[in-house]
Amino acid sequence: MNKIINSPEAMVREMLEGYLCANPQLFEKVPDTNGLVLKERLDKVAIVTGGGAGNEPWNIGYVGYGLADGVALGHVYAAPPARAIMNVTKAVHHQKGVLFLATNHAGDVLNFELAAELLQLEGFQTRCVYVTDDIATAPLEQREERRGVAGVALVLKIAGAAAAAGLDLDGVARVARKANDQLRTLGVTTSPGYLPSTGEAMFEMAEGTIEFGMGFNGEPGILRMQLQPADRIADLMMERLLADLQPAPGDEVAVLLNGFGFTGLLELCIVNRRIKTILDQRNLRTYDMFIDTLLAPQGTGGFSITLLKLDEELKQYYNSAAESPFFHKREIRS
Amino acid sequence: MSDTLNVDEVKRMFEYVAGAVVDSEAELTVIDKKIGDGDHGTNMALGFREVRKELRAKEFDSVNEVFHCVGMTLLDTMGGASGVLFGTLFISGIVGLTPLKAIDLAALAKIFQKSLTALKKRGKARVGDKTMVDAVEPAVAALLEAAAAGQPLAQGLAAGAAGARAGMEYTKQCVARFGRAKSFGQASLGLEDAGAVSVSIIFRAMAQWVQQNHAGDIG
Repeated sequence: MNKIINSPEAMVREMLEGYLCANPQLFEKVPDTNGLVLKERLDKVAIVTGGGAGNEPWNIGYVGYGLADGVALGHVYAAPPARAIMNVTKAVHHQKGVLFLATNHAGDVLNFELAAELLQLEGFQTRCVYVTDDIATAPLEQREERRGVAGVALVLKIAGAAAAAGLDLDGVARVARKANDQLRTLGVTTSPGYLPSTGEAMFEMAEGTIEFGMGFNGEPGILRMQLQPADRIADLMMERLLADLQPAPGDEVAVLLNGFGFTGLLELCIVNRRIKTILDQRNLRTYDMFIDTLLAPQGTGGFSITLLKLDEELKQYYNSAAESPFFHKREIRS
Repeated sequence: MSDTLNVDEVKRMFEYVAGAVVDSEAELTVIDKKIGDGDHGTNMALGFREVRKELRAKEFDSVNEVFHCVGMTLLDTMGGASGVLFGTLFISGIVGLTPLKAIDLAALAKIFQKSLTALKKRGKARVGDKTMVDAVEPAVAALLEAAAAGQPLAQGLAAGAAGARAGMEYTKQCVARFGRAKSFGQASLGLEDAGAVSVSIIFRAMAQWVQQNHAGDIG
């Protein structure tokens, strides 16, 4: 695969610079750091997110109104250094405390915990919430070990709304954890992505096979099979997701259908139609459905389905508008 | 003359270590590609290239400052889990330590012993989890034993390097409990942990440098 970069060392910094060129009115760069912050310092609890580059728009595109206030970027697929997280935290309005929101990967957890400890020594108030939505990575009994994937978009959106609504630091952290508790994601991979540094495939996949729950970098999934019709794929995924989430008839769920970059809207819409049918058959109320590309590992084929079970409190925050150049969600008026 | 390393020698030893890690990029990449995401070599080379640059550019008043410089540079440039963990290997051992103008084998062993404790606490890993701890723990044990036996520095560091190497070999028998390798389960058997290989390279380079540049001083 031909990749358009200048050099592997510079690619993340240059991506960030290009993104800033396109949105000079919204963001500013954090000095000496691969990170950016919202120019407007809103007087509220701040949310700082971060993670490896390479899954854009996660996490660079998650900074915006009703979303995060700042982001620290690592190398491709590697957590940002603790120092970068600290620099971003110092650049946002942090007087009311800062919520660190990241996906549950070893490197991210280590760096956010370390940054939090070092910042606490300097008098900062921080809380950490790690998203654990990927049901393929550990059984339900070990939920806290699951890694975080596309569902982080919904947790961040809800936490962003809670912060904008004026909740205090513990309140925002509580709402974020509650959203994470009601969140489940499962992905299917249809073709490998490509490393931006070399253009090499990130893993081997035989043509005509698909794999459920596969890691973006080719870690084995939970189920591999020949390519199936869209409806059959959606059925298999929803069956596992619902068995894990265990909603009761009449419960309300929001659905995020996240394309991995190589899979187009034509395919995603077909899958979305089937998801709605399944929810109807199970007597679940579809509160909201949206199709987007919010976590896209380097041209990988496939998609993930995220289900979020909503109660009145979560709905109130889910309803708020979210606005960034690559992550829009209109306000829902109920 | 006493069997110690002064500030300048410690600095030059770690410059040599940094060079050895940078030169191992391809080897580490091959290993990490099998059960990780293949970026350990690039990441380590990136961090240690910067370490070499920082060490060359700076003047140090104590051994502690050299360790601090190595650790902080790794922390800042590497990111990922490796940045924190390799940073910890060099920083935690000197926390609260009085500034030293020189170190002997016993002091070196104590620094790495303290780092090992911090590393296990931070990474929540034990021996057998197929991580860098598997190489650091036997290396520290060998250093402590050699120091207790009153062995010369060069001999003690050679024992430390052998310990790290044995620990690295041992990771082939272990099933990973952390990181991406975890999802490979039993398939990770027979393959060494890339972090443990890096630790082995670091201790081997320390031993080599002392062997080549310091062993002759023993009077």
